[in-house]
Amino acid sequence: MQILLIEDDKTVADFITKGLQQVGHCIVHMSNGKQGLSMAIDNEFDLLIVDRMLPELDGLSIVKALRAIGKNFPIIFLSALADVEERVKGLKAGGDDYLVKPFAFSELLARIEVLAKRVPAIQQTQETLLTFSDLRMDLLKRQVTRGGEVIELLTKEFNLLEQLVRSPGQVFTRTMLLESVWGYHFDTKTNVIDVHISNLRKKIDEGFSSSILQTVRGTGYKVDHHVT
Amino acid sequence: MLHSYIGRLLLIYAIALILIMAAVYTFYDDWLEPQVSQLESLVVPECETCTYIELFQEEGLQSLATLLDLRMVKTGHSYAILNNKVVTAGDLQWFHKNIEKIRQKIVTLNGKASNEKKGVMVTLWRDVNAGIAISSIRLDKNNTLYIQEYLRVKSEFVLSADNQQIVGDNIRGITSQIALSGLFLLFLGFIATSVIVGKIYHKLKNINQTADHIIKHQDLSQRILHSGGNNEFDQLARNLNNMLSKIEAKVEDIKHISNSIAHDLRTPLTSLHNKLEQLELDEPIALNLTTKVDNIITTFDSLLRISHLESGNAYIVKQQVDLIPVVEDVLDLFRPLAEEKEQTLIMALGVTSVKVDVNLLFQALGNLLENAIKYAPENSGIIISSIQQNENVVISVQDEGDGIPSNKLEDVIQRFVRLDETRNSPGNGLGLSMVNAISAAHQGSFELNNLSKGFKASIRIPL
Repeated sequence: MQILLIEDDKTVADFITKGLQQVGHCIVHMSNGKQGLSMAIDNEFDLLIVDRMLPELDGLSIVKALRAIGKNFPIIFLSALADVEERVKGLKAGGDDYLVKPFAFSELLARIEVLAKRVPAIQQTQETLLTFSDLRMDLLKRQVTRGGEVIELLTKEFNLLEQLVRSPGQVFTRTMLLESVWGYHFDTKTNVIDVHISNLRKKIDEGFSSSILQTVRGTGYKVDHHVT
Repeated sequence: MLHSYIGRLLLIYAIALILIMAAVYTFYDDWLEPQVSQLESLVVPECETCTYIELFQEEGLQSLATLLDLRMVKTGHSYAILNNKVVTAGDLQWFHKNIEKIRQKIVTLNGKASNEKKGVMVTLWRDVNAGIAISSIRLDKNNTLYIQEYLRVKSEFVLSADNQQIVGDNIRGITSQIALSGLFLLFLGFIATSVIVGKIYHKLKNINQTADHIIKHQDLSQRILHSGGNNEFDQLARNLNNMLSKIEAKVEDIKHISNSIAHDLRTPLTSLHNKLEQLELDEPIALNLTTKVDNIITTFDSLLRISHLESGNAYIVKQQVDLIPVVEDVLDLFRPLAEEKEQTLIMALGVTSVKVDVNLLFQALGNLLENAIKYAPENSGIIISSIQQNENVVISVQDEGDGIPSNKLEDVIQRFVRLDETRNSPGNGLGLSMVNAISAAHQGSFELNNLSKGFKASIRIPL
C-alpha cells in the first residue's frame, strides 16, 4: 500500500515508518503541512496519516482541502494532544479515523487494515447478506444462522459480529469495536468489551465443531478460521 | 437591579426622598404654623397712627404731644410737636440742636424759589418707621419762620387687621414655596443621580458580563469593550484587558508545557508497550506486562483528559440530544457486567431532551454505571434517572451499595482518591474526577449522596 505520512515529530514518524515498512507498506514521509498537502495532491496514495498540528498548515486544513478537491482515500488523524474531544472535529473535516498519540503500533495497524479493506459506501448499502464459513448474517432481517441453526443475538452483539464478519481475518482492537459499534469514544479499564465478546462467543461458537471468533493476544479480536 | 450595590444605593435614595416628601406633606402645617404666628406677632397688632389721629381729633394736640413724649422715651424715636413757631412737644433736644440747620436749609431753598409768596414749606418727617409727619416749617420772604402743626399719615404703611392676614398668607406662601423648591431640587438630584448611577451601572455591567462570559465559557480571548477614552472605567477596562492578555499567555504556556510533558512521558511508555509486543515472551508474562503498561498509559490519558476538560481548552460540542438512546447505549454496554452480578438495570427518564456533548455524557454515565455495578451487591437494582429541577436537569445513577462515609464525599471527587473502607476495588481513582470535570465543562455540578439504603451520584446540568 502507498501510504503518505505527514508528521513533524521525528520520533513518531520514524516509529510509524519503520513499523509499516516491516509489514510491507510503502511510506512517504513529509514533515511540513504545506509540502505534505502538495505531495498528497500531486500523487496517488492509498491512505493518508496526518498529524493534527503541523508547521505552516495544520492537519484539519489539509484534510478539508483534500476532500474539497475530491480526494477520497482514507485518512487517519494523529493527535499529540490528549484531545479525544477533537475527534468529532477531525471526523467532520473528512477524516476516517482519529488516533491519539502515543498509540500501540498494533492499534494503528489494525485501523489501517480496516480502512484499506473498506467497502465504498455505495456497495455497502446493496449488501444484505454476510457469510463466513457456515455463518450467515441477514442484515435486512437481522438474523444470524450457523449451519442452518438460527442464533438469537442482542442488538449490540449482532452489530459486533457484523463488524467482525465484514472483514474476516482483520484484527479489531477493543477501542475500535467500542467506537464502531457504540459510536462513542470511551476510556475504560474494565473488560466490558471482553464480556460482550465472550457472550457472543458462547452463542455462535459453543456447540459447533470449529470456533470462528478468535482472540488476538494483547490486541483484540477477529473472525477467522481456527488454526490449530 | 436589586442584586447590585449601586441599585440598592439608588433604592435607598428613592426611599429617603419619598419619606422626606411624606414628612413634609404630613407635618408641614404643624411645623409652619408657629413660625407664621411668630412672624405675625412681630407686626404691630393695631393701627398705631390711627391712635394718634383719633387722639389728636378728640383731645387736641396737647394729649397727642404727651402720648408721643411717652412713646419717644419708650422707643427712642424722635418726635417733635410744634405749635405756632414754638416747639411744644417731642424730641426737643434734637430740635434745638438742629434748628439753625433747618433755618439755613430753608433759606437756601427759599433763595431758589424767591418768586413764591408763601416761601418754601419743609415738612419734617421725623418718625419714618411709623410713617408719621407731624409738622411743617415755612420761612416767609421777611425771613420769619413759621412752624405749623400738622399730622399726616402715609396710608400705605398702615397695617390694618386685614393686612395682618395678608402678611401671614404671604409668609405662608413664601415658606411653602421654599419647601417646594427644596423638594424639587431633591427630586432633580434624584434624577441626576439616577442618570449617573445608570451610566456607572452600565459600564460595570459590561465589565461583569465579559468576566462572566470568560468564566462560563472559559474563553480567555474575550476582552472588555471600552470607549478608548481616558476615564477611570476605560482605564479599569484596559488594565483588566492587559491582565487577561497576560493570563492568556500564561495559560498557553502551561498548556504547551503540560502537553510536552504528556507527550514526553506517554511516548516512551507506548514504545515500551510496542517492544513488549515484539518480544517473543511466554504468553502469560507478556500479557501481564503489556496490561500493566497499558494501565499506566490509560491512567495518564484519563489524567490528561481531566486536566484538559478543567483547563477549558477541551473542544466540546454541545447539542440538543435525546437522552433515551444515549442511556440505552450505556446500559447495553454494561449489561453483561451487571448480569454477571445479577443486577437489574432500570431506566427512569423524566427529562429526555438535554443539551450536552454526547461523547462526554456517555463517558460520565459509563463511569458512574461502572462504579455502581462494581460496588453494589449482587441481586440488586441500579437506576439511571433524569428529572428537572428548576432550570437544571439532574441525571442520576442510584445503586443499593454501601455508599461513602459522608465526611469523605468531597474527597472522592479529587484525583487519585480511593477509599480503603468500602469502595476499594481496583481502579485508578480518576473515574469520579472525570465525571466532575465533565459536569463542570457543561457549567453544571456533580453531587454524591448517601441514601438510607444505597448511594446516588448525580450530574446537574443547565437545561
